[in-house]
Amino acid sequence: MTSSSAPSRKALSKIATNRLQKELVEWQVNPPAGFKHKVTDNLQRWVIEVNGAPGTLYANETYQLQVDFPEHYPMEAPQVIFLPPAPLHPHIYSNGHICLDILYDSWSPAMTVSSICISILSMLSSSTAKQRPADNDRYVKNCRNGRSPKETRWWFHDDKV
Amino acid sequence: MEDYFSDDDYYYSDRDSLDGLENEDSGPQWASKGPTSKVITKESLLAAQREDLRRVMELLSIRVHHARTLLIHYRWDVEKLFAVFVEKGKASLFAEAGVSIVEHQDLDVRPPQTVMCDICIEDLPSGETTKMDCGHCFCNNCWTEHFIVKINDGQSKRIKCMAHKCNAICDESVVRNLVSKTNPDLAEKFDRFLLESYIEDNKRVKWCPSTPHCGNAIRVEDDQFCEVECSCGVQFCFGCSLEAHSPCSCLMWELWVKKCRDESETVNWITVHTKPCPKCHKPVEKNGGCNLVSCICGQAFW
Repeated sequence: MTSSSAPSRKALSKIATNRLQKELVEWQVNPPAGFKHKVTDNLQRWVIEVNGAPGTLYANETYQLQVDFPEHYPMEAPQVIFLPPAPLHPHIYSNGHICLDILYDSWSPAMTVSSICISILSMLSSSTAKQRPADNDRYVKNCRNGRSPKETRWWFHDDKV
Repeated sequence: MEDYFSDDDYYYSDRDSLDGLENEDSGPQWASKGPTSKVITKESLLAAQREDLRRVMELLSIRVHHARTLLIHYRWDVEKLFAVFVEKGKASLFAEAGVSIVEHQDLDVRPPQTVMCDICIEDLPSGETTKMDCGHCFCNNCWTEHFIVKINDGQSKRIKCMAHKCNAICDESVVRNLVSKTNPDLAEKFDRFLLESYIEDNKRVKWCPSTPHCGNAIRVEDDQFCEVECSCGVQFCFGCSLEAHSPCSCLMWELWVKKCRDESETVNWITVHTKPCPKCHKPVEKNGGCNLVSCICGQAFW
């Protein structure tokens, strides 16, 4: 069993493939500041390096995001998690799951990988304490067996961080 | 239509005996002695729904898909919808339900030859794109894919626009037209979901609980805690959809049904594991030893 919880793998639809190829080209021309796409030949799973923004709690730290795309991307949200070790943050669980509304209920097909990255960096940058969510242990225990964060019913209660 | 109003479709339900506790000042709904429930057959469902849609369309001068969006949001409670309209005004009523009626000024401006779709990031002739009432324009292929994903996800009743943070509900005729081009079966499913919303999202209407299902639903007029009878002959409590149980409360009845179910398990166990005593007829379980057992009444038997 892998910790990276591969979602049920259905090949990308034509719309998804075209769109991801376009996003990749756009990324190469104009990558979001602080992010580096680790080149692979797998269009369906991107691994992206995140550098903590200077002047924030995560300055000089590097983390890895794993983005898995479903068959019907972008009509369906991608699955985005931090690969271990996940940053210490009140909305990031120790298994790498991220509590961020745009990854789940508030996803819209008009968003892109790039816009997700910017939201995640802004979430990291606005943090004032390096700590795990209060319910971390309970949540992580419930997610064993490689459950996807997209199956979680998230409760977005805090819009400050 | 005629089905819906024909006498055959009217069923009078008896007031349950709690009625005795009510007196004259308990409100006008108790005073009326008219029909309190009626049967909606598969055939009259469309007409029943159209009637509510028509009332909302006429009062607010809006098109059918906007009326449906409002009614789904307000769970087919026309009076509640009108009350919100009077209290908070049209703008707030629409915004809450995700209805956006934008006055488009671009009628006399010639649309551009090509439009860039922000979803697939392609330039397309404007004829292959669709602009929703909220003003957001995307290409037909992307819209279609979006609708298919949402219908398969069980969200037919509230398919939102694809733009980020746009709360508008998509025009049902656009959904129907685009989806039926590639997936006629799914378009039918979409229509069925919209039609059945009138029953499933409506506190005044419930499916008849008969098995096998007779296909009917029952609509009650004012009292949602009455007992009703479907034209298939099934009588049930409108509150809990279980068999009619007045004067017992729904909660008590549920507990009773559960108890009976448990008890029947006991009966099963008794038939399998015991033998009645020939003298006192009590069930006796042999808990070991030889085949000669003695009952607590003193009788011994094989």
